[in-house]
Amino acid sequence: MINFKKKIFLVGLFFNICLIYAQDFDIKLLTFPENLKDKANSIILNQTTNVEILSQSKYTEKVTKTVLVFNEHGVKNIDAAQYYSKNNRINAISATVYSFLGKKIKTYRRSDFIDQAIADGFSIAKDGRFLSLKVTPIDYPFVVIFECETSSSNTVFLPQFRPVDDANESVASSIITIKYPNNLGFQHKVVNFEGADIQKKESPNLINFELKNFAAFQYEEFAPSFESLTPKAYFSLQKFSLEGVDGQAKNWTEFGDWMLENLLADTDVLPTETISKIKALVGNEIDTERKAKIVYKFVQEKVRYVSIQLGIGGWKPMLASDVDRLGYGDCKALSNYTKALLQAVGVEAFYTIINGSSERKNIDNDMFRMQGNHAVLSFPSKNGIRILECTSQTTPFLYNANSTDDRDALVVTKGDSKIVHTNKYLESESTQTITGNASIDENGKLFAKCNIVSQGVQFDNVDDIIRKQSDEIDAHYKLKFGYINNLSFQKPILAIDKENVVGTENLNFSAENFAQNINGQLFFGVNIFNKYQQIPKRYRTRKLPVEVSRGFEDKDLVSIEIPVGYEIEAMTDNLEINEKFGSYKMTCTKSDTNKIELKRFFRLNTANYPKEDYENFRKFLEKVAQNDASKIILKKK
Amino acid sequence: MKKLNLLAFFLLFLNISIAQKLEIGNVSKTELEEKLHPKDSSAVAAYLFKNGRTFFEYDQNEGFIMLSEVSVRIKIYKKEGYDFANATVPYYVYRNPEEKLSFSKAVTYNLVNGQIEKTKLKSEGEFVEQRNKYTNIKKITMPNVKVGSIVEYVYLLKSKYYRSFRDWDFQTEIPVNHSEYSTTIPEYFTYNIHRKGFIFPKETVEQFNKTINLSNRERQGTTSSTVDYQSINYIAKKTTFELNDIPALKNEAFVNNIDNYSAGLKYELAMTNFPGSTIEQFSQNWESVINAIAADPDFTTELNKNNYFEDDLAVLTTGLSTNEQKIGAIFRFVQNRMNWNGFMGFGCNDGIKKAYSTKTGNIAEINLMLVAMLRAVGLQANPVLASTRSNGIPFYPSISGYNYVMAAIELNNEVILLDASDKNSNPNILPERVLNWTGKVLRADKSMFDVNLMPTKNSLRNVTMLCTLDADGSVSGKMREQNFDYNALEFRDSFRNIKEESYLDALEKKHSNIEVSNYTIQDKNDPSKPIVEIFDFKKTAAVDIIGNKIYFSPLFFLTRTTNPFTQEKREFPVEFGYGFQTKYTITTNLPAGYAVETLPQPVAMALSDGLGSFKYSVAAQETSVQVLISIDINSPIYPADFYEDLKAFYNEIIKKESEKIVIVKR
Repeated sequence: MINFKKKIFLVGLFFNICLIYAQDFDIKLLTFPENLKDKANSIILNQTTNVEILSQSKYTEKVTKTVLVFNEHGVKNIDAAQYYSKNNRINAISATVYSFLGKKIKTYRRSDFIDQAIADGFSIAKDGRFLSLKVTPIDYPFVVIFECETSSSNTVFLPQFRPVDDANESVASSIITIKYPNNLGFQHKVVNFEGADIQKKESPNLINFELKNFAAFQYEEFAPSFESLTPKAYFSLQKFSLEGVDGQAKNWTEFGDWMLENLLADTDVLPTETISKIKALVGNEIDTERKAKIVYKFVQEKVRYVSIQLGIGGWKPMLASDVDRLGYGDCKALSNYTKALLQAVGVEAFYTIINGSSERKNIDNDMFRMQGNHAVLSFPSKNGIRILECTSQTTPFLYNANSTDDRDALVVTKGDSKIVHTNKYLESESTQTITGNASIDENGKLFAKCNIVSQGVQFDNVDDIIRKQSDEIDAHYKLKFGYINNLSFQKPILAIDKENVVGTENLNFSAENFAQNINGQLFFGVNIFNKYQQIPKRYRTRKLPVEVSRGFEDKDLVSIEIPVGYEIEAMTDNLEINEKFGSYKMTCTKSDTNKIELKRFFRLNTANYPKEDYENFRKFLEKVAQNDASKIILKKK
Repeated sequence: MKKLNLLAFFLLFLNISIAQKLEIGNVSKTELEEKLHPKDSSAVAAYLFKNGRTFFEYDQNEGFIMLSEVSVRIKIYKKEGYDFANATVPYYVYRNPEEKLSFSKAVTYNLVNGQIEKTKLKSEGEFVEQRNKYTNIKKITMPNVKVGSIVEYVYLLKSKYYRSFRDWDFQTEIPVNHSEYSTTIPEYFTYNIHRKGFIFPKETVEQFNKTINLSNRERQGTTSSTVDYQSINYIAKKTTFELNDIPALKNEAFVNNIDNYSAGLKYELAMTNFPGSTIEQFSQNWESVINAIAADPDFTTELNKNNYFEDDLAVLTTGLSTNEQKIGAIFRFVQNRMNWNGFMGFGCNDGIKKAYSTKTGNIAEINLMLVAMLRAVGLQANPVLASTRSNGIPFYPSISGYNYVMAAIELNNEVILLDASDKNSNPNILPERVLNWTGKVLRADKSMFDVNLMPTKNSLRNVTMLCTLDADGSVSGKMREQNFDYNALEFRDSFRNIKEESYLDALEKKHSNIEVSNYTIQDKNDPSKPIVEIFDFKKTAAVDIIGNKIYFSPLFFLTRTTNPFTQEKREFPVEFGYGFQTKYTITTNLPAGYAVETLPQPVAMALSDGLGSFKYSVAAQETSVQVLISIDINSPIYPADFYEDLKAFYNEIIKKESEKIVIVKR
């Protein structure tokens, strides 16, 4: 550990000398509060972002960021990298590395940055590129000043104020200043400012925020998303421009109409041949959902997901006729194509912008600007708003758990675009039901069979495994039942019922020495098929609130046959727990001369709790895990 | 051996009979109708064929041009296989002449109402990405792909860089029904061909006479010219490799680099012999490879410079008398001073002197500096060429077979290996990345010898626990864990820069949520010493209490439950990286009023050939139980046919460790 106080004192002595060879590194920045060091791999000593909006189709941004890096984990927080493309230019970029004492070590110019195409792993073509810098640290700590000047014509994406971008990075000071002309309808919104030291200053045509002394924190289990924990300010213009296309919007209706007119118009024309084909498939069906289902199946058979994001094509879907001809497209293209097909059979579906990820993230209701990372369709039905994911060739109709469920999305409708909240999967819909039969012979060998039926959020587990290779499937189950040694599996029989969105697993396995022979008595764990083992970590002091983003319900009914000539010497007591976190009940009964019946119910609630509840929440799960580890002892009659 | 030849002969005929339809454009209905791969029903897609040929053409202006043509037919069986309807091929663009790559004959075939429907790839489905300044990538995405589709494409790469060919992979992540690779090479070029993997292709060789026609236009006056024709005859050798029914390559745990085992071919230019010029040798045997490397000015002159460190070295070695002291001091000096910039290679980039002053360098700069400094104090220090795990095991003598250099000292008939690029390494304890194959020591007198880079000594781990078991089922106590050599290196590489609180969180989680307090760690930042961790722990519900008896595994939260080996069958060797010995000494004080009822039986077992052993013994005193366990894995690598034994060995260990001690209330 560095003795900070001592160093600062030393620095003070050499202050004048430092100035001579490091005029651009203000050593005073090193006098930050001591608590910022705690849990920090790096500290942003100072970041200034100056944005100037020059017109509806031009803004410039100048960033100067001074980062103090303590260790190798902090190196990634230097973030000396910048995206660019045809309409997002880098005018200047450089970085300078200083020793902790302010001695200049190395200067990096533009040509020292690595120029790379953005390879996001799934896009076939993307026109964005980025410059990035690799710094080899010589001694810790050290300081990097990164400077970058950019200009862009895409004012629909104004820079945002996101002063905190890593949990283990403290921010001593981060300032953003935005100068804007008063005729473009500049707006701003602040998020998660509570508890952070943020000053806002406003004057005509200028806004300024400064965040001070934001301490790094340790990310904790069962905590809400990083996004929801950190302060941010968003900015937007009512008069904006995207890839040369101007627009204006004072509300979602106008924004949606702009999208329809400029990005979606005339993209949904289908060849007449395809229209007749889909009409023939739908036939006389009149129910909206059933019609949509036929169209969905047609799309799933016909297309595949291929991401191509070039120019305005990053926002404008490929023509529906091209998707029809080529059989591929990205989320925008496939949603738009499906929408056109639905339209052809009289179902009105809407192009919908959303954040697609298992972590829930809303489209911000108050900022009428381009948001989201994904496009889907939505349509009203008698069951409420339904979300149709068009990029997957396998996902069942209307299934959207773990991807677009329970969040705000923008539904684009002519004259009526608005934010809607997508469907949520209830615990009682996210079930796993196990029916199992097991027998144990007198050598302690286990023979087990079970049928596992999964629905709702839990359906995804089966949908995921069934697509794996046989060796991966074998490895998956051996890991899942890792608490049983020496497992031997017959080939699992897995099935997906796409119609009812039900996943079924039929497992058949055996394990030598499952029951341990202790002096002629057999000793084994009674919960063979579904042991809850994920006890959350204990924190000396819990800092963050608690979130269970997707709860579930498990029901198990298991019959265990014990060897002939044996009887139960000891068996676990029945247990029932009912708490606000969920409920649990396990009962073990002797059902026959040589049979034990185990019934288990476990429900974990979807909920948010204050940090004070964490320890009780943890204990609740610990009790569940401990009871699931209960043993039985058999003795010879 | 005879049987094998016969089989090959048979296959040859078989191939001829089916060879007809394995041509681009000749897709059959039967192929389109196929629902699953006949030999691997879980295959999402398969290469029905994957053929390549490399040949040379002579251009009067450019000389010989190397052309590589690859044609494939891919069947898509499942939606998960759609990605195989996209193709990406990189090509080199940094220096002139750039490589040129073009796709052709790219067609998707579907069966529509019993008829074959063809959809051609158009330019809209073709993209070029500038990956970086050296490489462009051409990508295609095939149109109209569905389950059951067949896609075909051909690509042609034109290159002047004929030092090596693109590696040919017979084996891929999906099955390959037929794969054929042929090379037609003019007599002026000699290539070394090397095969890798556990499946070997059939090889046939033919020879052809070829002619180069040269024309020479000579101007006469202002209007007329004559053309002078000239022909050169040469012999070209065509070598064809064929392989059928190649299973999909599956990655396995405990494999350092799967590429070492997948079936494929590598070509490297050995020599050129053009008419009218002298024979030019490239890499042909290790000696010539190494002479070429050693002659590189990067290597020789860099090693002989010493003015930059002389002053520092004098200070550093003042008062040191033994060689061991000097080695230690110089090694630590370089290790502490220098910071690896992440680049491999045996050649210097900015030069050692610059690296020394900026304290940053690549592998060669750091380790050649180390050699130079060791030599300067009179030690017999030399560079060692090596290949990292990611570079794989070289299958033939070639310059690209090596990508790394370390230092070796010959002292008292022993070789000490040093790598100063890792902050946590030690003499003879090298970073994991370089624990691969053998190294080549290059002596100053140009002689050379091989040195084994695989660790020969077991790395130790000693765990001592003193536990107190409470009648309420909780256990508390003190644990002391010592990690030596590679165990210590691994620990430091993982945790040296992690904050203690985060580490403790991970430690508690790893040991089934014990509560850790009074944690101390010794010598975390001194790699010359073992890592010693001491802490107090407490765990509730650590045992099973049933009636008046308590059942517990004497290892408590250290009990292993999962065998690292779960596969039924093993294709490739099992690579541990290094041998190890783990010892547990655990004493448990029993709760007051309890006495031992049952103790597990002691056990000692061994793997054959002394490759491993497990010992378990237990003894009870009046109020306590003591367990001694040791596990020895004596080799860094085990052949695939040893897998069954290894798996069974671990099963026995797990079974034994989970056995319960039963104590009863008196």
